[in-house]
Amino acid sequence: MVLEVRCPNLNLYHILAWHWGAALVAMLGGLALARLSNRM
Amino acid sequence: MVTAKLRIEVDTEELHNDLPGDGRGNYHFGACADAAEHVAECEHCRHLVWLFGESSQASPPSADQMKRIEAAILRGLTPVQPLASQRACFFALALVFLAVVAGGSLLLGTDGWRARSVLQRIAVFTPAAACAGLLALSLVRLMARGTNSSSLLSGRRSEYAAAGAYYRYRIPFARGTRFCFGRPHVPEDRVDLCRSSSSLVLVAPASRRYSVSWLDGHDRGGLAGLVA
Repeated sequence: MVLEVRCPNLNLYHILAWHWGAALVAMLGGLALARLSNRM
Repeated sequence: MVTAKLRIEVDTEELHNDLPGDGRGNYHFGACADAAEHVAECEHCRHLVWLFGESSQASPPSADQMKRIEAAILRGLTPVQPLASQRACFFALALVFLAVVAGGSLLLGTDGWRARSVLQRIAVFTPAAACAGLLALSLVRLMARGTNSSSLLSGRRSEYAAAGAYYRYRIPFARGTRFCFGRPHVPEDRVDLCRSSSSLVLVAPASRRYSVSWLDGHDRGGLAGLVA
């Protein structure tokens, strides 16, 4: 949400690559963190 | 449906009588068609029925052992602060979300907001806000509250509530495992031990969560040592 509020670049490929990429990385990071915390 | 059927049989003081059976440690869910069907399909409930049935074959602890066990349980009980209500947790998560968005916007600017038309704003921010709300709702629903017996149950365990009590832990015991139940009508300051022919069951108030040292792994051998 912060990224959408902040970034004025409305180029389709930019949004697909960087905005969706950032969301994907955040999701994977959360998943990894949850898995790690479950093991501890 | 199963819950309603089984609740009909809950009318006595002893916990073993809360379960469908003859009151002597023999439990027969076959008396209720829905329950029998459910038990046949559900591995957890099948295991629970097996455990209660198996308990009838062990010899009961003596009165002296019961007193010592009860004293040990009461020593190990510590009331735990219950979680806030689901609504409060949801609003707390929403507040965190809004704070992060507000902080990020203040620090990084709002160029993206200004660059978008009204329709684009609706198309982008409405789904994002909906996703955030659903995520918060999902997190809140995963939380186990201590103030409501039924919400302590996660999906598969809800069948245990059918017996008029909720399953909390298996109690490590000299001759196997027993169960800890909380019942809504048990007063807040009272913890009871019920015994059937050989089962030992801790009954705690449903309105309060307890941390039991020997159940929570800090002193796991304590109770077994008492009855060995």
